[in-house]
Amino acid sequence: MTREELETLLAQVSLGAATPAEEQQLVDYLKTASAEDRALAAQHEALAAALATTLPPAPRRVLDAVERELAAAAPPPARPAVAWYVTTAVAAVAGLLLYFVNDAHQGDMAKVTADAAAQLQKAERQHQQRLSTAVAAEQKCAADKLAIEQRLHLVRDVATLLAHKGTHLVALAPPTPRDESATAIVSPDGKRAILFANHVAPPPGRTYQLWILRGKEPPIAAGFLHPPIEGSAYGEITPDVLAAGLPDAFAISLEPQGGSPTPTEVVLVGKTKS
Amino acid sequence: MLASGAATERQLVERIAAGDRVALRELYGKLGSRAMAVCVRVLRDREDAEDILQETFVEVWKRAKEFDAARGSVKAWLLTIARSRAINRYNARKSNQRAVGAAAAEPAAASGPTPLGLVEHRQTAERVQAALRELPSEQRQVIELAYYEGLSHSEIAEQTQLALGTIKTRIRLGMDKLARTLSARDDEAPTTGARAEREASS
Repeated sequence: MTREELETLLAQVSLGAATPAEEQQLVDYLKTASAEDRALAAQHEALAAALATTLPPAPRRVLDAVERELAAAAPPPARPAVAWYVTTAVAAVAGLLLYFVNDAHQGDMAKVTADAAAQLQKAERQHQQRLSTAVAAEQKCAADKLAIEQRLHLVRDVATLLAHKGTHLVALAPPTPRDESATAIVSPDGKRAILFANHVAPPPGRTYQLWILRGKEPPIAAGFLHPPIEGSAYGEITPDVLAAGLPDAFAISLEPQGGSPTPTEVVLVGKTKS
Repeated sequence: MLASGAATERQLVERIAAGDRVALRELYGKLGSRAMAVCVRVLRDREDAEDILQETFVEVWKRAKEFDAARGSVKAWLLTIARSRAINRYNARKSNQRAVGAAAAEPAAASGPTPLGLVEHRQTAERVQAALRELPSEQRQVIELAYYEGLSHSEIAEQTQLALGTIKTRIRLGMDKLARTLSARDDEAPTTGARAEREASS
């Protein structure tokens, strides 16, 4: 395959316009392709991923509606099975009753009663264990639900901000080489800003503090980043300090817990206007 | 890998045909946005587009057993269903003289987006849209017809009254220019350089 033919095929596949036969042709070719051709394929793959960001989202609510429609048409689910230990306990009681009504076994009644009681106790213990596990699981679910709700609230907040055409993004970069990076989402009127940071891990006893910079005024403290989760963190600039409008720059510094009146170690800074 | 997606999509349709709802969700995650793009392009109305997207995936569920891989890819099959239903809706709407609203952009709604992910998604989308605008109009047109309307090369050739070879060449040149423009922008903005790679791997 010539370079031009490969580029044509890759372009077709990237756009999803290739036929199954063409896709198979590409798969077969790449199995034995040179490193250079595979790199070209990887470049098109990245391009396809970048193009995908321009697609309108397929809303989750539509999928929910599809599932509701399909569920309405589906047969009703089977009744849930009764737990085995409940069945065991019921069987034990039933057996006991049978012994009671059978005169021939009256003599063994004490032993049978003890056995049945032991079985019931065992079933009860197992039931309690399962109940404890279920309670713990419920508590974990409640905590997870709260965390998910908080995240959902934040995602909705950010999504609402991003939906405004005038919303703009400010990239914060480290003044000296560091791993941290951050982006500020700034509302169209410049009176609201949420910062997201990546690769952040404050040393023990320290925290990330937010700042705004205006002209030659001293930096103004503007809140903190929330504790990072897996290296990512966010924080909202205190709305009061943005009342005067968009600042010249945002900055993030590392400070002792509780913050400082002036930044001591600036780790990220980004100008709001180029 | 680029082309292995088609095989995965075929497997998903096989699972859907066997009554696997999880597979339907996965297929929605993979192709929902493409189908939505086709619906939005045809209908220019987000609410109607969502209706048709819903109808499309219900139809996919019901007709999964009829899918024939020898006749085309899952993507082509699904987008054809979406386009055909969207055109029907458009014609019905036109006959009712209903007002047509503009499709509003909405931030990504992929499962479990992170706020940072939303930001990066938008940054990438803005870069790609800017790069698309820089393409010569004839190249941009064929790329948009292929990607956002889900048309095949031959369908584009038919619609534009151009030779199939011309369409293929324009797409190749357009994609090449798009890649070079995006690469140049990455060089200009090092903080966003790895974004497409990250999105590719996500």
